[in-house]
Amino acid sequence: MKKIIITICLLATATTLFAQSKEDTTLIKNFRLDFAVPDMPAFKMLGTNPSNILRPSSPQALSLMISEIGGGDGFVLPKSFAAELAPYILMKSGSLTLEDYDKNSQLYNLRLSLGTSRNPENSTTTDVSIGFRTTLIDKGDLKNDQQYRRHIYKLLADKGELKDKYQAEYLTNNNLNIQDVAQSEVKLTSMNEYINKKIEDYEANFDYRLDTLKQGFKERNWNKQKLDVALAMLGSSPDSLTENIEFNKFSLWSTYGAPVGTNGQILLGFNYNYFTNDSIEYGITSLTSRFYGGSNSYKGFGEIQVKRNENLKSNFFYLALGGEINIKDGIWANISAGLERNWTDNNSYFVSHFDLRFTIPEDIKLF
Amino acid sequence: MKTIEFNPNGEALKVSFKFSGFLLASYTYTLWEAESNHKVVYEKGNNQNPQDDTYQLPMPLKANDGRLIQLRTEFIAQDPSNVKNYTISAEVYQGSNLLGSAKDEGGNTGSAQSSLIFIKMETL
Repeated sequence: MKKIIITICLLATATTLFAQSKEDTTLIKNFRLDFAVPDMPAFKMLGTNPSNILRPSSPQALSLMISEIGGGDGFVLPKSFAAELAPYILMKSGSLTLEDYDKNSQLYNLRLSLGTSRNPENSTTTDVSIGFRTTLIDKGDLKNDQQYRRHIYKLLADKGELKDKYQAEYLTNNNLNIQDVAQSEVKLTSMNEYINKKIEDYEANFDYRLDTLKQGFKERNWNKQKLDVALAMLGSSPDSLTENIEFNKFSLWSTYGAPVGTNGQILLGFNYNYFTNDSIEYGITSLTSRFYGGSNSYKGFGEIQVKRNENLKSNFFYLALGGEINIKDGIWANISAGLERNWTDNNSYFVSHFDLRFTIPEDIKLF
Repeated sequence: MKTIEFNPNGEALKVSFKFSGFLLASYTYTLWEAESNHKVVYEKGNNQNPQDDTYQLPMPLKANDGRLIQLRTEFIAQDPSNVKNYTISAEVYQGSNLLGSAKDEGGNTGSAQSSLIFIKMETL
């Protein structure tokens, strides 16, 4: 636990240093909403958590997860690590139009994740996982919100018309025609300075309205309707060489999230795992329900899961409580503890889980 | 300022506005009379539907000689963390032939941004 706390403190400090002089929240630097970093299919495949629900969330260009923090006495190292990226976003970049997004929002939401985990019992065996996920429904995403768009279009249109009005005023006051101004850099700069000075008050008010709109949306929409589907596969290698990896586990998830009142969210998840090797093949099916309560930054949750393991011919029941905290812009901690019971063998186990999730902070741009 | 030449005896002229870089953009389009502050056309629009961002220049074609196209755009990038650059362009067509275009390119900031493009029309 001490190591976990040290890690959180170091990460929080690093983020503060990156973000210094960017604390002015009255100006919108960025429109990405810092909702919770989602679970990653590749990370789930590593089996670091008994819960088989894959939490849906809005896509992030790049996010990271680490878990099972431990290691040497002098430094803290994660035993499991996964990264997720969105290939369509990286490929289209500046050529993307609003129409492209509206027609291909599912491609935009397509994410690829890669994970790796060291076997805790020896230092040589490595698990490697690859996952794909897309979001079919995301009513919590600002980019899809038509009401938000209408507000923004109206604000921008008002600003444009106001500029045209002051442009006409400048031309009249200076006895110039627009052609003289358009072909002279000096006159054009002078006109723009006049217009910008005239709309300074509007500009400040515009940024304030924009900021308010974004923050209000963020608090209201963290729990809106979402549907994610994902696929992943897991391979194991007896050493660190990729050619020796044998893929022996395949997994499918579907998770639906819906609001419960203004401060609650319920998730309903389905997961099927298929295991195969030279001697055996079998499936494990899970149905999970998780309830979140709280706000975007602090949430608690309760979870119930039933699982059927065909190999063991056993039914499992998992009950857990946990929480999710936004430690700092771009850093999330997820902690849970619960009881897993094998109804067939009448055995029960206490299980706990902790992971850290990272995404690019809202006020930092890497690209 | 870009100058684009056209055939006064050719097909109809049209101007088309394009916005890339994942933007929400509202614009005003003004067609100024030659050497004058008289507005021949003044239109407002946004990039929600690209199909309605194309405008035909008035007839007769010769009357457009010396006129000035102005595109003023106010915009916000929707996802500046991921989509880092924008391009706003005004393209002039005679029939289906692209005669020329003027563009404004830059980096997305995530806050409100502006763009101003001028094109002067002249007969061949």
